[in-house]
Amino acid sequence: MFDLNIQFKEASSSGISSLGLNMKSFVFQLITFLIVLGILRKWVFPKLVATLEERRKVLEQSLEHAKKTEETLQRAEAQSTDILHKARTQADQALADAKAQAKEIIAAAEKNGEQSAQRIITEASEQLSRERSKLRTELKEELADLVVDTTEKVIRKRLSTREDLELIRHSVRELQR
Amino acid sequence: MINISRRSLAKFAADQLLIGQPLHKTAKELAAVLIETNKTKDSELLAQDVAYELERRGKLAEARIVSATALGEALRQELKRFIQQTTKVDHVRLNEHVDKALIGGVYIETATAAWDRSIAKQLTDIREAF
Repeated sequence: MFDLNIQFKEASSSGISSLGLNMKSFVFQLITFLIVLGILRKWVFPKLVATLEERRKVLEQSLEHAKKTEETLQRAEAQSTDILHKARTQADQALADAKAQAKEIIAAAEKNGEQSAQRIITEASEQLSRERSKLRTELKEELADLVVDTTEKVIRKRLSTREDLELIRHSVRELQR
Repeated sequence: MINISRRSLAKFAADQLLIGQPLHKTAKELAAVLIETNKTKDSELLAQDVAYELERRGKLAEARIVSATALGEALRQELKRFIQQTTKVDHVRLNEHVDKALIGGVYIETATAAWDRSIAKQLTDIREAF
């Protein structure tokens, strides 16, 4: 130790001391530094590194998790887009089907309506025809009654005894033929 | 109680009349049978049946003549001739009736046939034709 001090004295007087540094102080500080460095390396750095490593792992996991989440989100978005697309397609199809069905129903209803109208017209026409025929018959009967009644009155009034006897004679001769 | 049909009775009466039995005697016999068999209600029908039998056998046609006007003798003879020709009988007897409902013309009816040439009938035919 003494020798070292001597050597330091020599050195300080020769080399380092020429730079204006206190050799003793320098050595002391170096030792202190080494001690602190050793302490740090022994107890502090491993824990610090472990903590940092742990933090790094957590961060990596978080990043990975975030990435997975993002991927999941993207997949979900893709799925939702796909579902939406399918739903829209199905809705469009359903709408088209509904429109086609509505058209068919309307066409059928129109056809039925037309048939019903035609049937009603036919029935009305037949009814009218029957009524007309009935009316015509009644009119004919009434006319016949009127004609016969009038004829009867005229004949009763105009037929003389001589004419009636002539009529009877004529009838008998006709029967004899 | 004897049960003789009206038709048999009419045939019997016709037979009796044709063999020359007087009409009043035949009538009495028929009346007796009708009373005996409780069929007095059938007397009119029996008389018609007897007339039918006599006409069918060509002996006598009893004709009912209905007209709106009373017939003259000439017309009566003409009617008799017509009935005699059509029924082919020896004798014709007319029962004349006047019915204004006929309006005009004549209705002739014998036991086997009838002819309606009245104006009333013709008017009815016209009415029915409509």
